[in-house]
Amino acid sequence: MTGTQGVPLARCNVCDHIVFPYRPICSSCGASDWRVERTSAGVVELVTRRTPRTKRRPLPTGNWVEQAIVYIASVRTPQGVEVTVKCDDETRPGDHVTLDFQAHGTVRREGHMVSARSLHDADRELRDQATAAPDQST
Amino acid sequence: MDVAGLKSSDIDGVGLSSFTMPPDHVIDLTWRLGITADWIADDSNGGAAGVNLLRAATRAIESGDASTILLVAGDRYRRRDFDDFTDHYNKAVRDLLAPIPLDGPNTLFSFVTQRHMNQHGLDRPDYGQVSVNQRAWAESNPLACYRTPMTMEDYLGAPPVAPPLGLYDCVPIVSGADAVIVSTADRLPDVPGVRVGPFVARYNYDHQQGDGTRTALADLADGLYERAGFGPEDIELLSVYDDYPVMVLTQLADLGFAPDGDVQRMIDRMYVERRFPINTSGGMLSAGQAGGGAALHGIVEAVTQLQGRATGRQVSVRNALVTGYGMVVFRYGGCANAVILEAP
Repeated sequence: MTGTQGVPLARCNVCDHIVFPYRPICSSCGASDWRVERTSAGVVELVTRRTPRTKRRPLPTGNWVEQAIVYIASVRTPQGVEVTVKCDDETRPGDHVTLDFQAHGTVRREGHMVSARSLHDADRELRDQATAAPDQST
Repeated sequence: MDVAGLKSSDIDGVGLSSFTMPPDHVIDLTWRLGITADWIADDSNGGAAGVNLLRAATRAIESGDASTILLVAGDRYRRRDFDDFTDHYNKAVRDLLAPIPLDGPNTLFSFVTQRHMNQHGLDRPDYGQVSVNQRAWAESNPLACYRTPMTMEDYLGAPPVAPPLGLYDCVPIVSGADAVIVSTADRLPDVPGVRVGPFVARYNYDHQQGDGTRTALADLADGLYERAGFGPEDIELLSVYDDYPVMVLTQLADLGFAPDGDVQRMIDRMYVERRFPINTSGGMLSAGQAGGGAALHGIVEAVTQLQGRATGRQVSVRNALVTGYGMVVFRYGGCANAVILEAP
């Protein structure tokens, strides 16, 4: 697997309040003293899917992108923070997932995307890699 | 201005709510309308901007900063305008949600709706009561976007948008505008002016740390009624900000229309047993959303009804309660406000 990185939650150094995304002043104690606490774990609470209105979305360049159904979940981290993440069509409420916070740039969109992979998929991938022939690369 | 019998030279204040006015600002609109103003305000905070502007205009007139203020909300959308708008809504959306791609707030309100459903034991037809009933009002509003009669089957069978939300849970984005003039009776003695009553407002009340199924109105409603001198049972017409059916039901409960907490019974009382006058223009869900999130739409409809000018859909009412709600900060709307209006 390529390296995953967790979602960068912001923990207040003064009162331990935790938020995502980061904002300068703590709503709980008023301090401006934070540390990053990355979390890669979560439990799915809700799911939905977005069917694009049109099959193709025009880009400013005059080109277009194909629009596929997007699966989106509301996930609760162990710290109690709720994040909205991209998931897949098999994701269900109650699933335990790994969260991956990746920069995602296209012609049109910039920013970071949080995606969720089911831990069942991760297990399956590790098993597949373990049973692969020794000279196959991961 | 025509309805009030006024010319540009009679106006000395301008307030604007618009998402598509940039790069112009309210000063540019003031210039284009041939107005010289002693007071201007530009409020881009979506569905809460109307009540916010009305309060600011009222205070300006009460303090003598202006005497006759024009409030305008309008938008002209081309398709790409709306895509640009939803992707760059604010920084949190642009950087963390748009890349999914989220494509607007429907997903977030699918989550609010699901949580609300679970909390109150409701299902899709309960939310459908809001959409179907508002469409019935819209049949009599020639300015509404959707006027075709809609049955519950139509609502339930509509294309999914972000399940459980379907097409008729979402407002049609339209080009359009609303306007009101705020002044005093002595300045405009011949105009049957609606009286502007108490206001309440709270912004970022829960720092986006709730679940969206409760707004600040729940904390503010008692104070609003106390200052009005009457309670929710005396409210005769409602304009409840209706970006989604769940938000209508949420605000109604927050305003005290479900005193026992039973939202199902509230729906039966206000939509099934009788059709309480709520969003009598059809609301945004049928009339369309334009004007900085249709900021003035609810106010204009309430004023129109109270002045007896709601041809075809007129109800005889002496007061109205109008709410504002929005903007999505990261998970749901961060603004909530309300005003009570009384008949001339």
